[in-house]
Amino acid sequence: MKFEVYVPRNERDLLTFLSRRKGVARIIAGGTSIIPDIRTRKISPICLVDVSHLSNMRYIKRQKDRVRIGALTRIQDLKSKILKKTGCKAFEQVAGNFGGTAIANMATVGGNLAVASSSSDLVPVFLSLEANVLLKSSTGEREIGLEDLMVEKSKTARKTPELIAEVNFQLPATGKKISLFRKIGKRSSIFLAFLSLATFLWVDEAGVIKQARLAFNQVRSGTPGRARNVENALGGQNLNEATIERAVGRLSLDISNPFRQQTAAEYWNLASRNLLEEQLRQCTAEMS
Amino acid sequence: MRKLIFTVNGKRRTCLVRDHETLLEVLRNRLGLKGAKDGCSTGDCGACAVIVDNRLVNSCLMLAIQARGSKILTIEGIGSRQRLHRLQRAFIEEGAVQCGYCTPAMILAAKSLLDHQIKPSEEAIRNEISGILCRCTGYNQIVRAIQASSQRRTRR
Amino acid sequence: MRSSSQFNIIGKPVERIDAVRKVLGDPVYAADLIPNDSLHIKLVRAQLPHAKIVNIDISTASRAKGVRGVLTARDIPGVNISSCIIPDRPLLAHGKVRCVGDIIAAVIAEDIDTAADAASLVNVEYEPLPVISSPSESLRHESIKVHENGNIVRHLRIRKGDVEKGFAESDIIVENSYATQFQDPTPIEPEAGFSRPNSDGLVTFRGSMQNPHYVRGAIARILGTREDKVRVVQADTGGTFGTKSDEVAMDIGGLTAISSIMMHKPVSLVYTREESMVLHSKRHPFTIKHKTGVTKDGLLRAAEIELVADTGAYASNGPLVLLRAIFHSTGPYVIPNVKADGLCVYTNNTIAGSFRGFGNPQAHFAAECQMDAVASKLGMDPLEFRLKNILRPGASTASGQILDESVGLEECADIVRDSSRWSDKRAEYKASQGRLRKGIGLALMYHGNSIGPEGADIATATVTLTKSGVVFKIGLTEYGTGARSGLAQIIAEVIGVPLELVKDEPADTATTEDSGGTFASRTTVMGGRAVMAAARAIRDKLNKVAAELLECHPSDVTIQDGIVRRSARSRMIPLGKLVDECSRRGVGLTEFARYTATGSAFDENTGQGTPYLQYTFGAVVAEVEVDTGLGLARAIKLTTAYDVGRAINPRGLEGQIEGGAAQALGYALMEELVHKNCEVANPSLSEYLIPTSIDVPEIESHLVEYPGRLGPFGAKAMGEPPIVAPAAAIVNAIYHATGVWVRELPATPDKILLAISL
Repeated sequence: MKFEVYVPRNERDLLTFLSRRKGVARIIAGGTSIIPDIRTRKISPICLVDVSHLSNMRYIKRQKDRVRIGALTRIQDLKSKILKKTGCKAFEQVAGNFGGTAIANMATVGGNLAVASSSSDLVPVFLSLEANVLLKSSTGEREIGLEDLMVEKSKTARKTPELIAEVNFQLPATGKKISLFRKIGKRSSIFLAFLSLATFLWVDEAGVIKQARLAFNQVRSGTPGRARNVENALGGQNLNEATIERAVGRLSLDISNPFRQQTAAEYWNLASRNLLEEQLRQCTAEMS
Repeated sequence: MRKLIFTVNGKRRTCLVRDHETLLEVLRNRLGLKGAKDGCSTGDCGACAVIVDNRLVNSCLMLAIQARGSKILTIEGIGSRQRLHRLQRAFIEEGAVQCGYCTPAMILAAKSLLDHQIKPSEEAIRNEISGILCRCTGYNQIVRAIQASSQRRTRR
Repeated sequence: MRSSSQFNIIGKPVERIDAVRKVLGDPVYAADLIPNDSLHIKLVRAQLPHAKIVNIDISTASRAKGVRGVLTARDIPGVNISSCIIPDRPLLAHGKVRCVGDIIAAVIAEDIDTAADAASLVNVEYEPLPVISSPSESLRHESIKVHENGNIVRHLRIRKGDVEKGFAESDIIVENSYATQFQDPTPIEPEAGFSRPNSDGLVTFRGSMQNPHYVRGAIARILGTREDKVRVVQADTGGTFGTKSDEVAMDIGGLTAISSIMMHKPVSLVYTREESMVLHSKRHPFTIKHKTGVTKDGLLRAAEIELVADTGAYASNGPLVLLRAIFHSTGPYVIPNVKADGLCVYTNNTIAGSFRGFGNPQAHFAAECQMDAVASKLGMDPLEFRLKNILRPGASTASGQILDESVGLEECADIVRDSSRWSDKRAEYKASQGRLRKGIGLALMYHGNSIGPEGADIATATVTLTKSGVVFKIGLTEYGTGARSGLAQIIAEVIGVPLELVKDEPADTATTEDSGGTFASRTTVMGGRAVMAAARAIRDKLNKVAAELLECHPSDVTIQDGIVRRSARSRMIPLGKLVDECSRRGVGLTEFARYTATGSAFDENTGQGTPYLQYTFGAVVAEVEVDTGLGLARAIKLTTAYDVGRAINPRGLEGQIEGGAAQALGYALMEELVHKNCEVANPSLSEYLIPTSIDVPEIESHLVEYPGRLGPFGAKAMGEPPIVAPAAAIVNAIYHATGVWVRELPATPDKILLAISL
């Protein structure tokens, strides 16, 4: 491991440096994915930019119905009171099974989104919340939907000098909100997700689903994404066994099996359906 | 080389480090504190865990210069041969030590937990140490040691 | 035999003698001790699993800044061999490579990053050869030879009775095939060591290892020098589970020794986790076929068993692993007619060798799942069926060995049945409905003590008593099990000193005699007999002198807690004073003892004889919960009982039982080192998963004591046995929960779910 590290004085300085060292400088925040990548020689950057001290990018705040999470917010911070109050259990579920205390204490929200792989637990969660991402560069800033940011496996639509500064999402002011997440792997804790699913439901007083958004860690090889046919089957319905069955039946329209190897592909087929069914049943439990 | 000033086990330390050196490398190679272990260098085993500004971190994933101005606590700052920390005592008494390679990290994780929660549940203990791999004990004796230590404290 | 309560120190849950330095984080492991002026080695590994080496070009690497040298096969001064039983493995590859764990070159540089950069500059030209990726390919394609003399390393047989007759007498015949995987031992400390040249022409190697005396022999051969020119010292070793008994320690010792002599400087070699997982030996994958004949009232009549082990590109300890596997392949049952054949074969996979259990976990996984399959065909309770057939005192094993002592299997089975509420839970869980299903299953086990007929089972020890206490030296090492603390207890018990006064010295070839290998769970049993004999000799001398002072017969002298007396009311002499008196009289209190275990032998053609001198027995009940929608199986409780002969340190035993169970749980449910076309596909701890604190359930352990003749105070081997039975118990519990068998380990969610959905 040999590289130089630039320590910017502030956010302005960081953005200027990124634009000057376009494509050369890589950002290090928590270090939980970039250091292993360098160690195992997957990448060999010559320059890193340390952003870990830019504490103004570490925040969770609620402005009316919008929740804003700074990119340097640590995974451990997702257990915070503000998020708990939103009723979105998904955050606690991500933080509670992220990679052990030390990793959750180091890894950041921005870092997890930047990795953009099927093993990023936050990607399906934020997709299900239809989150936007605030990108900053020396020439300005722009906000795009997270879904538009995830182009393909390990790639984002982020232009090189752009920095993921914030992720934000809107929560409906009325009605019941349910947000759940679960990931599946061989071990009961600390593993990269083989399969994960995040669900967001907005339900009115009469128990009718006003909005349903579901996202898997992969909808095709390596790419996270929404399951819109499933969502459509749920929208406007009461969440009961018949609805669940119909929604699960739509899943194959949304997903093209990410695996070529037969056992993995067959397992994915069965497990993704069953996980969806389980999570929707859990939503029913959450509603009552 | 860059000058790094930080506090390690209550003492202000200054040393020259290279940008790419991890906190683990600096603790072990420049400060001679060998208690934090290198088990994988990729954050998967947790043997390198230390406490930085009251948070448990994997020192193999943190660049040393990211610890500038921080307060670091390593196993060497926990107790001494003459005065073992109650966690160290409990680890010995409960048989939580076998090969010993994960022991410093386990003790620091336990300390970090007990600093935040007076009497954590078994589930909380298991979660707290879940990022630190032990291949000898099967963990249950470690969990019992942490429970024993927390009970001892609450009794006082 | 006395019961444990009659001992002062034996049988007490005492503190380990090495615990304090470990909780303090003292610098005691090899990587902690590397001198500041050390040079560092990075290895160049084979890029192909089977290929001729056309050329190795080290010129660019050698010229790189900071590089001090590059070793290839031609630089080895002595014999280019680093292997275990058969000299089939070169330290540095020459001519051809046989697996991706072959080492082509060692780059020596001023720092590890420089060495690593230079290692990537070593250019190797290969001519690829066809690859053997499995035992079946190895046996099918005899023309593709991993080694010149063919692909079969060893064929072993058991022939007992007449299986044809046995099957004819059977009402039901059950045939199944089982497969196990490469399991990585994953000691948390990766392999490490360094050599330092001494001014007197000696070289000292200090490292993480099990057997310093064997490593000394290997280094001396590699250097082409006499053993007395090489000193090997074991550093505190952060786990090994067998693998540091094999080639790795010799590789690191050999390469650092050569380079430190060449460079006149200390040279270190510390493996990364990836190097560790590719280079060290793993658990052998086995395929095991069982054909079992049983009468309708549940009596086993015949077993025909075929075992095939993949030892990878080199034999390592494969031949002995196969031996242990075949001798345990029936499970702990009386079967009058047995025919078993075992093959150990070469492939181009990385090496399989020593790993806790040494063939027995594989044998028991197959045998104990087979017992459940038979019970299920019979419609009998799996435990009741087993109890009709288990080994009891006087029974004859598959090798025709009559067990005339220390057979506590039935009591173990009774205990786990009662304490797990076996019958109630069998019924209760069977009735469970819904997506989450619980199941309860069990496995019985036995494990031969002693190393068997293929090596000298000796142990030596030196014990010294002074006024300051006892110091003992033994060539058997501590690597986490606590066995040396058990030795300290034995010494303290025999001499009569408080345990705190007993200290050990590191295993160092310059100061300790060869004591055989620290493997096969033999430290307590064999090492225990050696320290016991040495301590006994000291005690006899003390008794004699004390008897004169106390005016009594030597056999009337008691020494306890450092107090010497004749009877409860007699005059007391502090032990220190007695030691002074011995010194004054010229009575030396240093004793050396050697213990040799004899009597194991078997017939090569029939496998009949005494492969092991005594057996540890045990029973394990596993309870699981299976998510039948996702195929996730989780152990929720394990209940174990082991006949340990005599518990020296019950807490230490608990640690062995729980740790072994956790490792077995990983073996059962998640661990698999995958070889894809002979490349290791997952050499990292993010892809090769071992159990965490969340995966391991409550483990209730019971100790049963049927003292054996072999070990000190009747103690039996307990390092390896705990990993033998749990995997089968877990898989049997999954069957109970779901009605599906997983006959290929590990029982991962995909296998379980696909089986359920069939």
